Amino acid sequence: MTSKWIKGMAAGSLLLSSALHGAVDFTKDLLPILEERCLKCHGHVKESGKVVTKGDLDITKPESVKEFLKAGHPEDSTFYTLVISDDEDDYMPPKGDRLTDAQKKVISDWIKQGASFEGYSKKAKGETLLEKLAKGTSAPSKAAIAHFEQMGALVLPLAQNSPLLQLNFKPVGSKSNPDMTKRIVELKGNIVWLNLSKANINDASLVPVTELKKLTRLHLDNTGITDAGLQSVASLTNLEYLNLYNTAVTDAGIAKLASLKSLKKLFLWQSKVTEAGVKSLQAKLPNTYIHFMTPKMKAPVKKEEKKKAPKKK
Amino acid sequence: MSLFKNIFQEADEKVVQDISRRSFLKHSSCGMLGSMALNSLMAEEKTNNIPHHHGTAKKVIFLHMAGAPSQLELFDYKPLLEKMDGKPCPESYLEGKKLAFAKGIPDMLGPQHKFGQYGESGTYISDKLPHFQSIVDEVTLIKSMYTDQFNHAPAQLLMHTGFPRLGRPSMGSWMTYGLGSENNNLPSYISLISGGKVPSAGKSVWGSGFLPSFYQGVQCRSQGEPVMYSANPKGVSRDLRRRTLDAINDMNRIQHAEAKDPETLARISQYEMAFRMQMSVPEAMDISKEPEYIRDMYGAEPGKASFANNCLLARRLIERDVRFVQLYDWGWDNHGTNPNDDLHNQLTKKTREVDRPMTALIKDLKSRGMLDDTLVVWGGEFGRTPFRENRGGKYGKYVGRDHSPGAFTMWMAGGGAKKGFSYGETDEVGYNVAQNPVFIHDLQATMMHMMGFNHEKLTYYFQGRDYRLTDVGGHVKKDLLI
Repeated sequence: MTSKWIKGMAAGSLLLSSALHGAVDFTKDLLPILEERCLKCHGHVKESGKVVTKGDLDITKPESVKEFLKAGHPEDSTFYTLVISDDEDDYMPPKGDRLTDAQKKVISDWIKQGASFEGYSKKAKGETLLEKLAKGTSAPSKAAIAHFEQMGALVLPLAQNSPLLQLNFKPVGSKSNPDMTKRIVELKGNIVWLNLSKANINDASLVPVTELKKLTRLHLDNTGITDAGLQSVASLTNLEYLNLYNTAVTDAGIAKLASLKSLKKLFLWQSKVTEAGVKSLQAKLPNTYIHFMTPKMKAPVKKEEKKKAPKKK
Repeated sequence: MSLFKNIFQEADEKVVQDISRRSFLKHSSCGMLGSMALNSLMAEEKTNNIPHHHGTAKKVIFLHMAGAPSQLELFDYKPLLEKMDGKPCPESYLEGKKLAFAKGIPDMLGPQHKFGQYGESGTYISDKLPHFQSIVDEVTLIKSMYTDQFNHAPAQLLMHTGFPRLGRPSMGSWMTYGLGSENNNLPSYISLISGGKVPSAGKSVWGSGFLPSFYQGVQCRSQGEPVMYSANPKGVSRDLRRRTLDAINDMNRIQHAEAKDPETLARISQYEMAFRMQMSVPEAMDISKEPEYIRDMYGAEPGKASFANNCLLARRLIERDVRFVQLYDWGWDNHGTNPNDDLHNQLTKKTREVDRPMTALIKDLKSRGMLDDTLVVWGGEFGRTPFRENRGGKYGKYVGRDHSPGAFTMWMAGGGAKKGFSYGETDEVGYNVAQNPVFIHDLQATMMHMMGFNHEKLTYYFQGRDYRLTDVGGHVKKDLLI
């Protein structure tokens, strides 16, 4: 019930804003409606990387949307007429509530005003980085997977029917060795998460990792990695998460990471970096969360207890 | 592509491949055995340890405060309740309510502890949680939790198994059943107890119900032998133990070849796990190996049984890829009948016991980059009333509140939960949910979603139908997620 209310209110405010500002903006005004009510069938990217485009419409692609409208003429645009249609076999969305009058008006106004896509960025809100990386990816090599499994590593798809893989060397345990990453290249199109935490590896082990351009998460914590190894990491431009805690990396090493524009989180606790080094990297990567301090706690509660105890006596 | 298949699963699949149900029934000696096997054959439509979608969380630490901590003293600040303090409870609140102990028309009870606003989010937090105040910007508070059970045992069962009566698998069992283990040397589901008592609902809160017993939680202790009876008896060396197990396993394999009973294989797998655990568990459970400043951060002391030790252990276990760690703390049932269950002495004692370690846990996980894929959830089984409990119709020396299923607060952090966020609202006195209600099944569905599961699809066939954690309810609350 509440969600319907909110939907109604949101549409109301959209209408208000477009009325106030005149022009209806595709990204700001129209896309939220389309994403909520149309995306599921027209442009949704499945875990497998496949895009659902019922009736050949993909609302995330302007060229696809244009096929269904005549700029300036909502009444001649199926993009609008199907939304207002009373024909049970035709109207859209086919299930759930009809669009509200306010929402219908946003579509009609947008077409009337020339159906401009100005300022629209290609990436639809619904598409995550992983969905983007899954697109067009072929199934991983079974031989390579068997090779790593035999070693004791875990090779798992991120989800059912996903071609993307996570490779976790942690279970290899004491048998891990610097050469175990050698054949990683054979899975370069598929690996997005790589866990080398606590593994017996060195900087040379990371050279094959350079090839894993789709990598978004990389655990190198508690390993013998040094600044030299970070050279290999610096080219992984899709990297969002990098864990270097308890390694010997220094300020000079992390300076190389300034190229990782997608990096969201970087962990450097118990490494050799200094506050100055972190500051200088932070300036280049303003949106990255960098953690390098030992966690601080308020004064221990234990002491308070001890102070109070004698008073009672 | 598989996780470590335990021997049980592997063999179970083999049974499916090798023999038909019919021939198995012919082979089995009695009907009960046959039906048992049938169940496990039919249950094989599982996920092969691959989530439905890529989840934001891979591991869970569930901190259960058995007894039900008062939301009105800790998280849900109600200025109006302060003004109504001492006045009789308006009858409109009491209409249609079942109460555990309160009689007649009790008096309203204002917040017994001070509140302040903390963090960039300006979240109201009690002054009884001085450490937690510093991490409010890391957590999501759910102020609009509610349940339909007002006694401890059924409410705890509902919280942990999705059903208020015995017999269903617990949340941890479902998740390990769905996702498998990433560490072959430790159980994937471990429970740790503090506060001196097991929850009212007993060990069923970490039981596996009708799922294979392999998926039940293993209780570990921070005092004495970590897993009871796991050490070798005097005079038995590890080598001798190995040879003994080999001989027993050989015999069990012969037995299985004849009778094809999967439980025989479960037994082999459990013997093997116990053998590996003799080495791995004492190592994982030894907090004396932690640096002193880390132990101090939690307030943990080796050799003691405490919530602080358990929080530190939870981090150590999660670090070793245990899937689900369940912490139970006892002593939150603040009725106010004596100094050991009131809102002043006892609540102060309890908050002091948990505030520091739970805060340290979040900070520690965060520094190690582990909070990203570890979901931490904290809360009790229900809430407490906005009026004072008058057991037997009169007020005693101590102050407390009665059980209240209508509204309570839980918090979650990490694993893809929003940060510095409060969800839902209660009415002006914190008795019932006013906005964005979250039922127990909704919380479970949301946790499942974070772990990569569609809660409606992770099912198990038993007694003629598919069962799931969320019974017939549950909606994923996407507003709680990043």
